[in-house]
Amino acid sequence: MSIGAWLAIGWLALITALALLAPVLPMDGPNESFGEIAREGPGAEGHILGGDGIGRDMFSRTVYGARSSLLIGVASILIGLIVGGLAGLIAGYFRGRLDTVLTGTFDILLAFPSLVLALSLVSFFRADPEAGTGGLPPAQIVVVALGIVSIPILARITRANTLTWAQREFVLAARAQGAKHPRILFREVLPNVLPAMFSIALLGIGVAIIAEGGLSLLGVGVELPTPSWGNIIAEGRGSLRNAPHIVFIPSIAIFLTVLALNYMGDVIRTRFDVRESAL
Amino acid sequence: MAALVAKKLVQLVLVVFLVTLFTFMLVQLKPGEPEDLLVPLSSVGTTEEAKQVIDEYKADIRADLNLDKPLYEQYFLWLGGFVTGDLGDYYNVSSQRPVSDRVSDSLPVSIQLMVYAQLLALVVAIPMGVYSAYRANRPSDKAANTTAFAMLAMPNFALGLVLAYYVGVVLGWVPPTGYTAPDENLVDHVKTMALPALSLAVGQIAIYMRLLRSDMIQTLQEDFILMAKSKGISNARVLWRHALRPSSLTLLTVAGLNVGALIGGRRGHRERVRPARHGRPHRRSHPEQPVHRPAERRGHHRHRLRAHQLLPRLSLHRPRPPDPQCPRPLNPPKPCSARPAPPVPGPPPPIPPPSPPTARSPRRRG
Amino acid sequence: MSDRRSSVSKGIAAAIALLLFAAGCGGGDAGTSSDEEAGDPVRGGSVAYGLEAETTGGWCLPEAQLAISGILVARTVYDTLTAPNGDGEYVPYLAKSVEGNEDSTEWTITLREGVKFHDGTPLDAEVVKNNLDAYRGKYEGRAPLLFLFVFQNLTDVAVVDDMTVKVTTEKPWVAFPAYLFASGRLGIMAQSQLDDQESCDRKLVGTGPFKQKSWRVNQEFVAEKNPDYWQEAPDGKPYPYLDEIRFQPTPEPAQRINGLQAGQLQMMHASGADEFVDLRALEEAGTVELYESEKFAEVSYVMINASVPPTDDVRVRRALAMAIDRQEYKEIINQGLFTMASGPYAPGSIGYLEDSGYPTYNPERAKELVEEYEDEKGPLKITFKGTPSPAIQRVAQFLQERLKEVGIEFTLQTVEQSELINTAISGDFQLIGWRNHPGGDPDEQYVWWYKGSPANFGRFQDDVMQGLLDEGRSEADPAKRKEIYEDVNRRFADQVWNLWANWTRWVVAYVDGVHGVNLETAPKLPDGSDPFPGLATGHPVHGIWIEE
Repeated sequence: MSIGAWLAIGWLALITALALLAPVLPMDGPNESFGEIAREGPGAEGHILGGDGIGRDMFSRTVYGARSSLLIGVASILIGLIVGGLAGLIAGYFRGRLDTVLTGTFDILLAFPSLVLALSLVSFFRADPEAGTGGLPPAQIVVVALGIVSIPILARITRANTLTWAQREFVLAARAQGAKHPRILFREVLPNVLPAMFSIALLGIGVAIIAEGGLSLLGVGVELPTPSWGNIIAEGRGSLRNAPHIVFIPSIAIFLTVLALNYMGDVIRTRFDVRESAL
Repeated sequence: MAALVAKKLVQLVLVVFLVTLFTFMLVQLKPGEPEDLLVPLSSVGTTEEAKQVIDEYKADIRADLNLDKPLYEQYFLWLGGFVTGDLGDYYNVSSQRPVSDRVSDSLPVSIQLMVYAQLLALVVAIPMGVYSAYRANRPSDKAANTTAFAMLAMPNFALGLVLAYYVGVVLGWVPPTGYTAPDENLVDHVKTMALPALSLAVGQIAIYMRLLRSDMIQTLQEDFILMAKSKGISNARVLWRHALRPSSLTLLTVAGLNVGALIGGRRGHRERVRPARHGRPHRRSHPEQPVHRPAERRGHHRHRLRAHQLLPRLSLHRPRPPDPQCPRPLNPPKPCSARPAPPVPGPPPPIPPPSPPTARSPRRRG
Repeated sequence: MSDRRSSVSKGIAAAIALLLFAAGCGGGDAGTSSDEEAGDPVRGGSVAYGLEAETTGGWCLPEAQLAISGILVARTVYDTLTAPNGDGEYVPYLAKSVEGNEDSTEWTITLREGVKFHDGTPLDAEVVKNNLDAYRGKYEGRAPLLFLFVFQNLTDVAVVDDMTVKVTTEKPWVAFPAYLFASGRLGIMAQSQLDDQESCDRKLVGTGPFKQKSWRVNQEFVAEKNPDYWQEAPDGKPYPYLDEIRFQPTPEPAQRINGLQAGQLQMMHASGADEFVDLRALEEAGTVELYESEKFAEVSYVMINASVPPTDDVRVRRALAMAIDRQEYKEIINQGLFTMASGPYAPGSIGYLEDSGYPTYNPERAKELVEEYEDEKGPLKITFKGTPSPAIQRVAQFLQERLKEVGIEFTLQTVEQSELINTAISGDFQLIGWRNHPGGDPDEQYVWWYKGSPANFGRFQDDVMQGLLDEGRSEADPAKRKEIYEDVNRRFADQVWNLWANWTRWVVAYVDGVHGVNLETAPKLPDGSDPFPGLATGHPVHGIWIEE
């Protein structure tokens, strides 16, 4: 593996470790504010990344932000992978009318501009009157919304791959031996389709992290005061001139993380010779 | 052929129908009553006179918007208007104007921006893609790829803010805000559009470059390229004259699809960062009023940050299973793999076509 | 059909003028930077003015919904019958005189001679009567909503002769002249616009210093010089000096500053702490000049719903107020810039008190009150609703931290601006971020606070308050009025119906070479009195000029 790949893995490992260990790290709480470091840049005493608009430690907020952002990225794509992947497998394997219906459904979902769909879903889940003030916690709502948005994409990719694999001789052989559909689907087809799904999923996590940022800017991302990279940027955008670090630090974190994810996706693609386009 | 076209058309109509129905239902689920937004006063707990006036206004609005009719009727009323070109009205404090007015107000600017962003993306991505395919897996290709990934990884909502300040103000190269029409002053027009077009193009460049590179690598392994090379034609000529065209189909298809997405996705630079405000009220004002759907989607969508454009585009990275034979089962098989080639049963598997452009980006209608 | 449709579409009025607390901001010491001697005003030139918002609803004034940006444009195209002067008194403006009878139940408005609307029609008693009728909901074809409640006290508007209108009120109405200004919203429209069913909102015809040239929504409102304007400049020729003003809505404040710095804009306004910091830095650097004011300002506050638990309990409201260290709030939220508010009336206004008795920071007492409440009624949980704007989110998170310290569980919920209004209307909130009550006459706030008013979003139904408001409305003696409104102020402080934050300080920033904006250089009023020092309701534009 190239240096780039190691760097990518290293960064992802670091940020994941920080996110997981956030509560036990020796740092200030993400919501504790210290008047004296409000809008102070990196290097302030005891606060290596400085403070945000109301004097909360930027390092702590960025680390806790990683927690939300990574969780949202991974969890939402996981939903997409499980639901979309299964639907794609079934559609691609059984073909016929079922395929037509499922593909049609994906097409319809894809016809919506994805962020608009996510936005509608978020505001719908949030305002569920039955659930009182809020229903699901906002972070989970974002996960579900982005997960739903990613379903048709992952489903289509899985289906396209399944189509080709389902025709292969070993599948025919398994069928001839009398193997049942589920067995063929999960034992023969799925393992071959997985690399493609996985490489796309890595890319998808990156996109979901960025999408959460977009939702935050619209005020429907992770609910403050819980930080996410997106909402730190959204909060700090008014101070770009006098405290640019509030926007830059999480932006760089997003940038490096998504870059690393893309890079890993590419490594997997190359490894398994997954082609990027086959229109 | 005619039968196929007819079938596709029927599918298209069905998809459009379901999309509108789905959107309609989605809006139904929203809490709140539209009339409360149009008349921002509540009659609860007020004086008798106030109560009467307010309730009357609200009742008028409900009647006017057909909100008292059954749901299915509301939907078909909207559908009827929609297919005859009536996009419904846009309600405001003291006016009620066709949605199409607002559309025609903003469409020209959207189109300009879309065209520039696409041109910019293609102009940068094509040479990059061609070169990195030519130098596949060499350091320069890796550098180009890394650049592309970096572009994809940029959180564009932050990029917009940063560009406006640092390029527009600190460097002072182009205006950070405002819009000049092309017939007013062409130079100023290009300048005001530069930053928005650039921030829309960044992600596209990466995607286009990757698409072209991947197809180009395939093409470069084709027989006719070998043939051309063996004839002693210069590398540059082979690349640009022989290889580019057959490799650009995917690229152009995707670019075509994006045209629609971008029209919807553009947001004037100066407003990019405070997105939802304008779009939302129209939509929110009529949660139950299908009449506004197309415009509301447009208005809404117009504010989307570019992240959303990346999401659907993932579908373009449709991977193919490792083919033991050769990367692409087109044309006569080539000796591209050392492994023995077991015959593939049957014809190459059908690869699903991309969803029809219209269904994919319905906001291009109207 | 068209009739019904138009009545339907005309639902909304100035209700939302109050629009939320879009930015949490407030004041410091009033500083007006005086531009150096620039010589005599020069005529001609064009200025681009960056506005904080577009007025998408347009300017069909009786029905319009004007926030500060909309008021600025309205004051460019229209004139009001009265206007406030340097002391905050309402003096005749488009009217030659406005005289009340002894008990303030009959008001005689005499108009200026020779004033023409932009369409060439003359200003006369008939058109003024029609305008006033439209505002109070008695004019066929126009359907105001909020003004309807504002003018409920009017019983008759009659034409006396060509140039005289008589207005009769039900109860004595001392502050009536202030209502003829109504924060700059009560412009007089030409008959043609008043009767325009199709495009009243977007074809503006007034008597103002500029006339509408074009309006492209969300892009630009262009106003060009009205060569026949009635106000005369010191050089004997009519105002205005400028040939053209181009109002460009640029909602993101940072982008307005970018535009000003890069030269797309020559003027802009702003009210957020971040913008003040940025603009003052630019002023230091000598690139822009500022005119700041928090006189007669609006107040930023957290509005409390007094009709739902737990905020219907005065102990809870007091605990909320006592839990917040206002000095710290000023430092952290407002970067030390804005003056904390003591009540609804800003400095300069009648009723202003330096100390209204509003609870001071006292976390121990707050804790006691919380415990007392919890012993009786269970755990204390409060939800705050606010827009996603960074300033509001800052406020909300600050409150959350501080309230936690006194044992109040505080959740914050983001709601879109459009939804927030709905939320206030429906009463489905406990706390909400808000901004309203620009200075002028204190009686102008009547509609927001009277018992059973549809615009009393905080839903306190208080007889003491109602009594004071009614008394103040009819009391002619200025000294007594002052006392009454000071009592209103104290009543607010005692009952804590709102958590006062800071006065909303506004700044108008303009590039070098622009003059005639600040107090020293702005034109005097027609009666020779000094210009009004407040910025909450915009500022006049006819005296602005630009060096070549």
